[in-house]
Amino acid sequence: MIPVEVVFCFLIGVFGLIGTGRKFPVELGATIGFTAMLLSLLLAGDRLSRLSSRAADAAGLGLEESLVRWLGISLFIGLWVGFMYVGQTLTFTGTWPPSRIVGTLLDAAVGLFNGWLVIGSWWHYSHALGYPLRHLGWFEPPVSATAESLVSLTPPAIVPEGHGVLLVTAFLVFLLALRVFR
Amino acid sequence: MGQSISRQPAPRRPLPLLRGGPAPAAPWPAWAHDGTAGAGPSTPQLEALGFLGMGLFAVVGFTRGARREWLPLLVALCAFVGINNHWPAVVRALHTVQRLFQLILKERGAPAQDQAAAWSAASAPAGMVPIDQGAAVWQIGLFAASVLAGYLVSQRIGRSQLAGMVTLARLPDLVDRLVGAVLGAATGYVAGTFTLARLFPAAGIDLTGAQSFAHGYIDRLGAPGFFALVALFILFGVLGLGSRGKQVYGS
Repeated sequence: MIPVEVVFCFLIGVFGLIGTGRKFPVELGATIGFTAMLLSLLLAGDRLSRLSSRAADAAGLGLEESLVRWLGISLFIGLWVGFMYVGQTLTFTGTWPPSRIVGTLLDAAVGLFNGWLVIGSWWHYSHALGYPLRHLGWFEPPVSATAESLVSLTPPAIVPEGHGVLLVTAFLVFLLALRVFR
Repeated sequence: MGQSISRQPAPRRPLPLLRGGPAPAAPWPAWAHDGTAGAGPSTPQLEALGFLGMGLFAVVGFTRGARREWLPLLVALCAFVGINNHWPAVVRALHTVQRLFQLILKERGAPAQDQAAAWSAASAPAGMVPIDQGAAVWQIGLFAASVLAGYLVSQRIGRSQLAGMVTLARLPDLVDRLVGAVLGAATGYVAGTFTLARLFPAAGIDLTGAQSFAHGYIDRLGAPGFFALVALFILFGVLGLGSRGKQVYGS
């Protein structure tokens, strides 16, 4: 069986490949969206998972509560990814790359950063909910020490409790300012 | 979704020693002035050395700019992985080169009558580079030579657009230099870890993990520092977007 950290790191690597394919000016537009996603997740706190739990109760799905909450968060993150990668999205104007190798490195780096924002957030909430996929038989605890240490480096885990929202908002404003004043 | 398997961390492989023999408990006392066998270098002392090295590399990176600094960093990382994890293979390759030189020098350029015999005669002497004891000096030398080569090659092929230090006030130049400094510091971190781990094997320094310098640095940097670094790299990329060129995005 594949360790859970390998799966999440692989998915982050896939974002790196996507960044290399889409190039920095396009991928940076997605970064704005993913930063907004992280901000909304931080602002929503527990409300998003409680909302999905109530919706599941109303629909009479009869699923495990942690699984329902995890599905709600996964759907939310999945929708953001869909919005950012499908159709007309934010892009930065200009010619690219400044040089072939530096350009490729930046393409991959911004893709990996996006992967860290998206997959890292997903991993954090999956971990916090105790990996609800175990109810479907796709996962068996416990997680390894490597996974425990890596999950502490995910975006919701590293932003400070007190001023995390302020920090992510400042970063989002910075990205938007770059897009506007560029 | 994959199933998680709880795994024990792999046992740390002892590094080849600088002067051979078993690892001394603390290599520092040999340098002590009072002749007493005191304690080995403390973590703060090693961190200070590592920080000093990173600072020096960062200054070099600041003067050269980002477009030249990526290559030494890549070379340092490749050399670190190659020498640290595949030292026997590196030694074999070095011995092959050594044998070739010996063969050429012995025959003075003339083709040998019996090439197989000449090859075995040339390969008879023991290789210069040790695999275990005393390998650290060779490892440090080879690593330093690789990084130096990376710097020299990048000086030729890196297309720096920096003006002189006089025009430091220009935002693109300043950002280019700052990113160069960050990349240089990263090169210094890799080089410092590699060297100190061999000079002070008892300290158990690692590139990543709890025994690494980065562990402390990341803690001190915190989330604001991390996001500031990302913002710097993004600014560097955005300022690198030209108005003319091959491909125009977003028009």
